[in-house]
Amino acid sequence: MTILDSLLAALFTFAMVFVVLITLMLLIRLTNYLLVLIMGKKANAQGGNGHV
Amino acid sequence: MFSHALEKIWTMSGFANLSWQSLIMIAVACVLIYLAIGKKFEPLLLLPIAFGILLVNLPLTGLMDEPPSATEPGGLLYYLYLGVKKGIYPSLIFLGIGAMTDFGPLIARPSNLIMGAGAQLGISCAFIVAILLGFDPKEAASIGIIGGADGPTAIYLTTRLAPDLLPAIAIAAYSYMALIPMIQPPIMRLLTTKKEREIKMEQLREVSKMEKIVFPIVVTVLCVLLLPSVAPLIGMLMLGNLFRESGVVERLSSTAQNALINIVTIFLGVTVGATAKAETFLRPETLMIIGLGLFAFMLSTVGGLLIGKFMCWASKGKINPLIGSAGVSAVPMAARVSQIEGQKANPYNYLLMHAMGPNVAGVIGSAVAAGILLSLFGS
Repeated sequence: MTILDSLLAALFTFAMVFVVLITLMLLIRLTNYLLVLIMGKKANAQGGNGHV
Repeated sequence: MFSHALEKIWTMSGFANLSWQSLIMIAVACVLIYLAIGKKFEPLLLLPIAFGILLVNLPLTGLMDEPPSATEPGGLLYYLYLGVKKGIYPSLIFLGIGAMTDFGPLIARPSNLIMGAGAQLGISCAFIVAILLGFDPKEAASIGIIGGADGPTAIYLTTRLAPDLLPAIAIAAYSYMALIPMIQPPIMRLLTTKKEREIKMEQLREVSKMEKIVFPIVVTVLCVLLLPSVAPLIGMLMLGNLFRESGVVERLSSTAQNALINIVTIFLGVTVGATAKAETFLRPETLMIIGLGLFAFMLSTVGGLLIGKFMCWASKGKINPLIGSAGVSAVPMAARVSQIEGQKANPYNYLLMHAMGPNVAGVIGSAVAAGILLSLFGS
């Protein structure tokens, strides 16, 4: 493996971690939005089990 | 006749077969036992690891020997080690971690995931440096993952990519996790201003039970679809969490976070220690791995803090950048360090729950990084 290859592999790994986790972040926000939409904000909050 | 018998007993004893390398390893084991008991450095894992090192370096025990034939048994630890070799123990540990972890702080502020991603910086940097030092890509990836500060993930990846390096990598990973209260604070103070450290964060919003139940399902589907190789780790982590949050399988949740994780920790620790035989451990590479592990760990802390600073700026000073360093996944030690440093700057600062978000994000982040490295370099 050349230095350039290893640099690319390292960059790819780091970038992919960001891509996956940012996608996850957006999915969590979307899920919350959908839950509020389906259940209503009050119902969603009532289902909670305490402050975090 | 009697002297001949005595001589035979002597030559068949371990004393006659002790080498200087074994003696060094026994001394290493004793130091680690001291650190675990006397200094309480990650004792749950360091103690079994240290005793495994001690056992396997006593001559003629045959504890790690393969069965000589189909009818004769192998060593006890050889069989227990199969759980490490086949990736069973790290996955089961993740099941227990999932059952113990409250992802609420992360769900309440999903942007914490970015800090968890930033805190994987050390993995990539250590990978490049390891390549420059002459390690092959598989070994370099295994060394780099120490920067993820996640023992089971490091063990899982190393058994698949560079099993020869397992003892050095496991010991380095767990040692640095234990040393977090010493490694992180100077970097945290260096990269943040006092004004930033004093920032008091608002209380997190309430997270509904439904959100907590949906979370492990969403994470599993997304991560496993993107990176199938990460399924054993993320799948088990999220299964354990679903046990916890569903509230309908209390017994399973309790078993996963208590009995099961304790049993697996014993097996994992002893057998990982037992791979540290003198001939495989006493090499210059071991010192290089330990140095590179520290480098990876420090850079991961830097990465998390830099993202924390960026988020502090982006949120107009609402986020304390100290929680970024908790993005290294050592749960909950890294979050505690953020709390302690925050309180040193402002005694009314309570960052623990805020830091738990990036902290658990780091667990997911390091598992994802391991999955990517496995996809790139796995056979």
